[in-house]
Amino acid sequence: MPVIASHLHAWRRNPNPWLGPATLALLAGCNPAQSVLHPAGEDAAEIARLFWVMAVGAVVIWAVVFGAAVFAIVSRRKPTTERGADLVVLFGGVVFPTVTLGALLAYGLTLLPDWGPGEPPDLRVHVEAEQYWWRVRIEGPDGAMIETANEVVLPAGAEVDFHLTSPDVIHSFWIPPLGGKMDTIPGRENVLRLRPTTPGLYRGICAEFCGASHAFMAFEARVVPPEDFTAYLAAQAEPASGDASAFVAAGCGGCHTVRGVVELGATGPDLTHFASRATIAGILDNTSEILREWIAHPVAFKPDARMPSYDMLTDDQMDAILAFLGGLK
Amino acid sequence: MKRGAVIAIGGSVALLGLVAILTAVRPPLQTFDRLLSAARGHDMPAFVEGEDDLGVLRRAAVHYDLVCAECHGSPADPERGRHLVLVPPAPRLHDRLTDWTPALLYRVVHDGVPGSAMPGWTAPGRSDEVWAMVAFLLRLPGLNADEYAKVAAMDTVAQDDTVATCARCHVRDIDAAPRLGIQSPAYLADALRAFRSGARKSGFMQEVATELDADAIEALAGRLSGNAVEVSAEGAPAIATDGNPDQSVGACLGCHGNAASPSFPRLAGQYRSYLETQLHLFMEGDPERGGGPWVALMQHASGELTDAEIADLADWFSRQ
Repeated sequence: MPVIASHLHAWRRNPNPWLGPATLALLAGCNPAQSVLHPAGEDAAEIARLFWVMAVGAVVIWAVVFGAAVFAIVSRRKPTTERGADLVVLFGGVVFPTVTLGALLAYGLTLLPDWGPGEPPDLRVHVEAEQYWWRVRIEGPDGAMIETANEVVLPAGAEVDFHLTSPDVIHSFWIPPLGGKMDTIPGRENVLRLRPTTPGLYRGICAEFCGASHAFMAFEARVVPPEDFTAYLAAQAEPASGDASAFVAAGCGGCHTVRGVVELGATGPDLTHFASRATIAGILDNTSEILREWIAHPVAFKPDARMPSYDMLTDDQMDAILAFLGGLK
Repeated sequence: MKRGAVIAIGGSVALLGLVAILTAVRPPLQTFDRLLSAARGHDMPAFVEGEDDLGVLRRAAVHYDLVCAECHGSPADPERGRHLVLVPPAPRLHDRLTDWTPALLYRVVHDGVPGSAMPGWTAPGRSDEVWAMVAFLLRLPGLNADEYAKVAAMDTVAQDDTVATCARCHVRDIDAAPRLGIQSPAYLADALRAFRSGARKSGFMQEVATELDADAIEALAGRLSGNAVEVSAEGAPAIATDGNPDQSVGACLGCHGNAASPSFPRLAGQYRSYLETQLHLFMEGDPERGGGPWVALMQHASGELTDAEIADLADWFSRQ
């Protein structure tokens, strides 16, 4: 069996070899690719601001309350007048909480999304969450769907509507640096509006337990300048080419579509421009050596994955398939 | 007090012994059997009416002639197996099986008879095979020597050739067993090796495949194979060409199309009944069927097919 950890995509690796595994869990939160505290989108920025306002406010109130308690214990002063005590209770116990909570409520209400139909989005992306990967269809300017998988590329500054659904169980779509999360529910379509602002590489995850490989159900979210996005979309819309004979002979085409080469089944991820993606299955570095191990033992990386283990392929067959997939730029 | 305990224990042992002897010495009594079946309520799938067709009878009859008749004799050779010293002796089934119920026959064929030389079915998950045996056994007492020889395809036995044995079931125009002439040598050799090792489950095929060594399998696969039937996607059910992502079903033609590896079985031109049986086995679960080195692909790709979809696919492939 392959050693899984050594193949995981860079953002999952221990950033400092001197730190033990115990600190890893804490450090994961510090990685800006998957952090709500490093916002790269409008919604995430508001959420982060809300967090900081609440955190700072909570610290101040905590300090005042404990300061008063300590003062009362340490000072050993005689009781003040009854009127003085009433005033402390009136202001500290009634006026201050009312004003503070009222202000927070007003601030919180302004953060609520607009109800009812808003402006039409600049871009629509249809996402189907499946055990344990992401089917992504980008609606092109002419309305044509461009399918890819385990990768969401977005233009900076655009309003993007994600149409979310699932064919199997409830998942949740979440790109922490870009905004809040939303469930994908079989049989219905949820719409999530995000506006990414800062170009960069982020990590999207499934945020609702969905089965054995829930923790490995990730994808790459890439925010690029608008002109780069236009080029990306044009490249993705192109059909692929290459010598697919080994790929077809091994039956891969029964589940994987490679547009322009083999268009039969679409049960598994679309592989048309597989080599242009940063990851295999959203979690592994996209190199030939790792891909070889993935094809032979997918369940070693994603337990319970639907893809069968191709450990019966001969080296020649595997090499030919790797060469074909490596050419799908 | 002591004497009472001795009587109770001794009586129980004697009673248990009697039950053991009764089940061992003769085929289980029918009332006893009914009680047991009702109490166990275990895997006793319903007898399918209309399975009494020539294909079903043929494969069971050939198996009977190759295996069962060694001890039980047959209408064509009633004395066969008489010389064997078996305790209890193997009954002459063509005389004895007059008032047995299908359920009783199923149990005896499936489980064997405890304490006797009668073994259970080698592939216990293949109830379709056990029922085929039952269908044949119900007909057996009514067959004379000629009729038996005809249904068991005994005319080819004289030829001392492995292919002649295969041809008793794998024969043109009778769906007793799948057509082999459309398959590649690679697939047939894989299948024979899987039957021999028990990796692919079949009471019929395991009996004959264990007779073959590695060289014989290679040679036989070469002789039995032939040219594929070309698939044309015209009029194909959607599952054959596109699969069904919602039910985790891959497109059939991904592995069973014209460009597929010779390691995969070719389905075009195969018998409908065989295709249906195999798809139902895949639906029942992996251990019921097993398979060769590539079977994991089908176990994943067959997803969740409905009975109607299975019938549609089997029909379309068989008409190619």
